[in-house]
Amino acid sequence: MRKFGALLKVSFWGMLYAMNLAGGSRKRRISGAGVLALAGGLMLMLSASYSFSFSAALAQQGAVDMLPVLMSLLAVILCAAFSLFGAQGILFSTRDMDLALSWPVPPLQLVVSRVLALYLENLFLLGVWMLPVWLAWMLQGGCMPAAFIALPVSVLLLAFLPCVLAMAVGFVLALVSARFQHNALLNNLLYLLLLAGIFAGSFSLQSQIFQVQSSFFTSWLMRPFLWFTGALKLQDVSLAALAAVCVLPFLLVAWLISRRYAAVLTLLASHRAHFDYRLTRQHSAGRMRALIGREFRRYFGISIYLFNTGIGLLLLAVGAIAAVLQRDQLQHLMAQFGSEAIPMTAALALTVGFILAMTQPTSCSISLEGEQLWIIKSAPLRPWELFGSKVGMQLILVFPVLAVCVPVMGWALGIPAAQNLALLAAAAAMAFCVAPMGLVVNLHFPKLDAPNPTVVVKQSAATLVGLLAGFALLLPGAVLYNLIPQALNGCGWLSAAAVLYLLAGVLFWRFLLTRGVSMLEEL
Amino acid sequence: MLSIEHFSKTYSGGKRAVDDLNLVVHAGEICGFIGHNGAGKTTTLRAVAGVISYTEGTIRVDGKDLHTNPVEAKKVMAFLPDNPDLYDYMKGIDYLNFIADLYDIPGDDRTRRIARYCDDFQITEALGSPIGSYSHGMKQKLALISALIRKPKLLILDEPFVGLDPQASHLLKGYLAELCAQGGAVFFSTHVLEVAQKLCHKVAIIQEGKLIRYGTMEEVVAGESLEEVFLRQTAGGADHA
Repeated sequence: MRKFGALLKVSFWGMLYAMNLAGGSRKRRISGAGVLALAGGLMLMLSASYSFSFSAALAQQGAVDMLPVLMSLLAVILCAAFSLFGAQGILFSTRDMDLALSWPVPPLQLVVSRVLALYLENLFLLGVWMLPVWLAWMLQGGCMPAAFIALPVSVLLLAFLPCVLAMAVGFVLALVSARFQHNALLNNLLYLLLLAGIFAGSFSLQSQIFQVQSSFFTSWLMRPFLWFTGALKLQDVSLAALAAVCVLPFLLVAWLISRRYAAVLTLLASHRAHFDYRLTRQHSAGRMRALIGREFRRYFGISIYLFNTGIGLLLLAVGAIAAVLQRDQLQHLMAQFGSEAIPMTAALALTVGFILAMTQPTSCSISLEGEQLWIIKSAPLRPWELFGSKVGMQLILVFPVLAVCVPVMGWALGIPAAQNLALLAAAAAMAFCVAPMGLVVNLHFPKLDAPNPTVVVKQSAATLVGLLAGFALLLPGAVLYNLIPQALNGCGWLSAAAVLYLLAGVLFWRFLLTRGVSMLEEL
Repeated sequence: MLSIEHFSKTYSGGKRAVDDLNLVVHAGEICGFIGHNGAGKTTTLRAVAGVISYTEGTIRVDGKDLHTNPVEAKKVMAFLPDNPDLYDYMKGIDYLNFIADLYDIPGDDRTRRIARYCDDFQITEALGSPIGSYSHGMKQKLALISALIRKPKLLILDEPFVGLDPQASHLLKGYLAELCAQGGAVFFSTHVLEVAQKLCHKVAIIQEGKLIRYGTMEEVVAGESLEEVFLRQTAGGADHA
């Protein structure tokens, strides 16, 4: 047990270090704590808004006890989706493999100690998430205040569930991708498949979520969440059942992984270079093309980078296809609501704005250079070439999707052509603003010593601050809409927003070429 | 080719890694840079390569000031760190082409140079595989090739012989001599003093950030071995490094 304790300690400190909560300078620790507080605050806000609206709706149906069931289910889905990428980075990282596998400890202890970081992350998110749930539930008379004492224990147990899901999926992905040469491509396809499954599941869940009498809520899939609710009501049997259903699968999956752990890590780390290349005449491509090509290779070569920063564009494309396929139903629905074209334009603008704020490869692009930053810093590059390649990659990625999806969605929603055009201009201007903004944020919050890309993309301050800054960019648009909603036939506020975003983009770019250069040199 | 005047570097924590360093490497010279771990070798090499910033002193490469004209200075040099991390997601050939594009090497020249160095180092057939699938030695060779294909006037190498097999080490020594014969210069750090003594025209010994001995190899060793001179000069210094 002493060895296991030592492993847990190493894993714990490793997690704190990766999240900037330990080691390094005071500024670094403060920024780490700030990121954690921001993430917790966001989770709290999200949970509070859902909990209080759901609790009122459920109380009207006399089913207020379904609140913790629904909210814990949502929380586990959210945490599992978050942990999915983390599991591969934490559990199947081959970086310190030689060292770890040479230690005289059983593989099960190694696996469990490594999952600790994942478990603690889920525990934090679940704990924060369940606080407003418990409060809303209690205020609607679902439980007594004394039930609060059961909350920590129940959450401690429930936090194992998303770990089980993430570990199992991560193991399968590692096992499959380790056997193929083009594992980045395979990983991307598998993640795409998985995300499609999650979306399909979410839509199906959405259709059942308010039919509280549905048989879905008594099915075996929902048992852990029903037991969780029972445990919160201080029912000992429910607590015991919850413990069994959360901890036993965790140990079982950890044990199964540990049996093949060394083999999978070895396979992942094995040098599988193929000795069949024949050199032919090479061609020069030009500096900027080479730099942008490098950005794209990295983008499509790191699955978590691609999916974390590209999911918005994927959703926009899926939304555009769905809007075209269901155009008649959409227009019928809008006619029922009696909405004018302008509110629909505003709704679409808000949606596109949110997606653009989420699509920020640049906000972790410098951090992802990591230990390879020396290559770029020792190369004869002008600052605009390096920054331009990163901004250029993001714009090449975003512009075509916007150019196709925004007009298509506008057409499907019956938005007048002039407003549609103004919306496209505003969206393109915002994209132009977000790309350099991401780099500015990343220069202020760099993370070059991350053990793997997952830490950079998921846990770094730059990613979170970039996201929040992107959301903040929506505010001027909202203010303009409120001030001049009808100007120029509803195109005025969009045009003004476009000009504003363009100006902001130019300012961000100017910052990069002045202060940004010295900030990059300091890295 | 390389001139360092009054160069000092203090890190943000207050540690003075290099203190008032002065050094010149002329065209056609190989200069060895030796010192204990933590003496300031890597800091100096990284500053010369433009990888870390500095505020005190002047570094000129081929007459171009690294502060005021960094792009022109970097165009004529190549840097290889002690443990080169390369882009694992790129294929070997893509990485070489990427570097060749950054240094504006025309298609025919790059094909000829890649063929020559890769054949010599025996990694041509692996160039189609991702760098992530390479062994440590193969990565080291690829990084070295990416430096050599630039035909630099100044080659800066940090511990270049670590991780190379005897055949590759032998090849590298030949390439360094060839580069100098063609008017280039080499500035490299090493702990292998026998190699430094055989290979270098000049040697610089650094201890706790200060240059304690610098001159031609003959002047510095004066009939002794470099190892003896180094141990005597730095006696007691390792504890502080």
